[in-house]
Amino acid sequence: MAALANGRYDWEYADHISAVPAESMFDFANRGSLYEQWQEVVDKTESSWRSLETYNYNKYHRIEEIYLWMNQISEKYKDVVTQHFLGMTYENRTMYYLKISQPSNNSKKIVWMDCGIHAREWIASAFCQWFVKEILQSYKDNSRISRLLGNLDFYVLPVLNVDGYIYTWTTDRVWRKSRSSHNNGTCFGTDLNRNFNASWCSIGASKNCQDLTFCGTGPVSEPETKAVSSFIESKKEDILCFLTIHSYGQLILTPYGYTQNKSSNYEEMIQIAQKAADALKAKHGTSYRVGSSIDILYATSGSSRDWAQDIGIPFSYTFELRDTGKHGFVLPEDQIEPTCEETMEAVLSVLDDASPFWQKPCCFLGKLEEVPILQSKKQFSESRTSGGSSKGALPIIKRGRQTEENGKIIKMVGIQGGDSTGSKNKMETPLGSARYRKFRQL
Amino acid sequence: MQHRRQPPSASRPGGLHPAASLLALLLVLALPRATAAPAGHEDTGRLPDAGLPRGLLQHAARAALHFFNFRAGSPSALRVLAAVQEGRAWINQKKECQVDLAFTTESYNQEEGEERLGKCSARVLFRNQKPRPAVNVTCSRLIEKKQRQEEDYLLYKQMKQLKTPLDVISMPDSHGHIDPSLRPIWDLAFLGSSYVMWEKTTQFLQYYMMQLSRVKLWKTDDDEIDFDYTVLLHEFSTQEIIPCHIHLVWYPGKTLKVKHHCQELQTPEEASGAEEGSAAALTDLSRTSREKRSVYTES
Repeated sequence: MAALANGRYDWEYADHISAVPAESMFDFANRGSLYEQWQEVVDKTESSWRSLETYNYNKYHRIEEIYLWMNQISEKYKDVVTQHFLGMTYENRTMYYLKISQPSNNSKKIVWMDCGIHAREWIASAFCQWFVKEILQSYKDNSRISRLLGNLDFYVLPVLNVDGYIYTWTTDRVWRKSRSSHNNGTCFGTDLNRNFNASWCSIGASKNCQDLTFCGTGPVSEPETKAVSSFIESKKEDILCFLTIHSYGQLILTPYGYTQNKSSNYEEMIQIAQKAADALKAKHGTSYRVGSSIDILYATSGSSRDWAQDIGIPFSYTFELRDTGKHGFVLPEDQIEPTCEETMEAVLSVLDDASPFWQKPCCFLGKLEEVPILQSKKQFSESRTSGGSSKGALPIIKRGRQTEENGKIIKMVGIQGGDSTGSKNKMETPLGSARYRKFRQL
Repeated sequence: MQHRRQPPSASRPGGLHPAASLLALLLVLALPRATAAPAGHEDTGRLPDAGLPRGLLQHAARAALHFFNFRAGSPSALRVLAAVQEGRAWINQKKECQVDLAFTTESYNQEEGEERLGKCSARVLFRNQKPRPAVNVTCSRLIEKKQRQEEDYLLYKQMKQLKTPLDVISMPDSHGHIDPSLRPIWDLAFLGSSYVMWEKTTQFLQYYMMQLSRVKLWKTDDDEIDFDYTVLLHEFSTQEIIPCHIHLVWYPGKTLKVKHHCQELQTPEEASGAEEGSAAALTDLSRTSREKRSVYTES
């Protein structure tokens, strides 16, 4: 089935009550059985609601409700919100994102946020919805949010892993992966956050479908990954922040998971993340740790965050929301509000700190031509036992270095990659903007 | 059936003197800032980089607490990690990972605004990827023993009032809710699961209790709570969910008896075990030296 680009749903799909057309809710009178089916869905949901005013952001919602909510949001706030088709899932469901953009003459930098790449992390999708609600309810009278929306476009994907999310509602609350079928239908699901083209399956992921970190049959083998990848790729020069929301652990993670090496802007990223964690803690006292994924979590490869950084998006973070294990994935609903409030502070802090980069031209970190990828786990562990940061001894992607003069950063050397001649000269991205240099001195 | 009373809490003879000497051994280190250096940098040089997992101190603290909670045997006095304050870790000649640390704890069921921090110090010895770390843990007493016994008894009475046999499908439900009247069940399940989680912990594997997927509760002839349940444990590094079938028998003040059988997803063998939860009980059974070295003390 094809979901139509303008956000309407194909009618045959609605039979499965996995998604419900939005406008149709209002002209349902003559639809007969379809209306009755929708009515059933509404009656069954714990928070039976008809309008956006009564949507309960303090509860977890089925996918049908989230789809309906997206429709209603884009209807009510049609001045700034549009709903877009991103792609199809393995089980042929539609993936939708919301674009929040204040019309203006200049094109703006993009902030991307996706939630629910892992099906059981319900609080993540709850946060995406909360975030959208907050932006839209506040942008007219809150100067901070108004400033953000005046300078940035927001693209929010509330549920990335739609099939998996549905599965956690119907069958297995702790399902993590997608629902792709493998080995002749004997094994299901790819870990979508191991499926991106970033040192795919080199470490911290499994080639065995039975495992929860199964990386798929190849990089970007899954339709969900493909949908996100293609879209981000098409917009990458304009994307300033790539935020991917998970749970649990209470962490703000910078790249990388697949190598100990750090990106050229690692220092800034950590500073920004630490300020965000401080802002978060100021809200309700919740402690978050900050660091690169491999340093404070565990090694992973093929993550969306690492891939986004590698294609040049300068601020790519993973958020792991509440808690630290007492409830884990099954976070009680009474924690949705405080979690979302504090996370909101953190995200706004990141966006504020990225303000030197709002204007074009920006700090796009350069395109990777040749990316030497670790060949095997053996090489990786060898690199670690040989004392950590061995320079040049192993084919690990080298991050750039900065040249300082009189305490001012003169230039930032970009990511090592080949140029058209295939040589390994470092690409230089001179810092044209005085505003950037000023930021560096902070 | 003989009732065995739990001995008054005291150090084992020859055990470490609580807190003071242990702390004296510890280097006072500034904890790594939240922009965490790799676990290896927490000590000034004794710590090799390679092979040590991230967040080792927190991991060791949790392992120590699983063990402590199980040994304390008190579902109304369970503790969780608040913060690690200081610690160091090193690999000894036998390729074991030893962690000395001091940390604060909170009550598992901490009320809003309640600020009761306990203090613990522990030595945890991870045996080269084998489970059942040797734990030597000492925690400050949070409440008087008498009060703890009373609260346990209250919990016991609440459970007795439930209609048995009790049959619950899933706790909490998908939305994280636990009916307040069923809360004692969760606490008792956590107590039993603490044993299993300690038992399975290695330096690389750490467990969290996620959900009870099946609960059967009834009373024995001796009025003990006989509790049979399946718990879903979440292992963090593999992200796997491990179902464990646990059967425990509990009476306030009496030795906790636990039997378990976990589904091991990685290997074909299944892991199971049985345990009795008091220091006295362990010395009586002939066990491996690793277990004899595990000590729980409440000062």
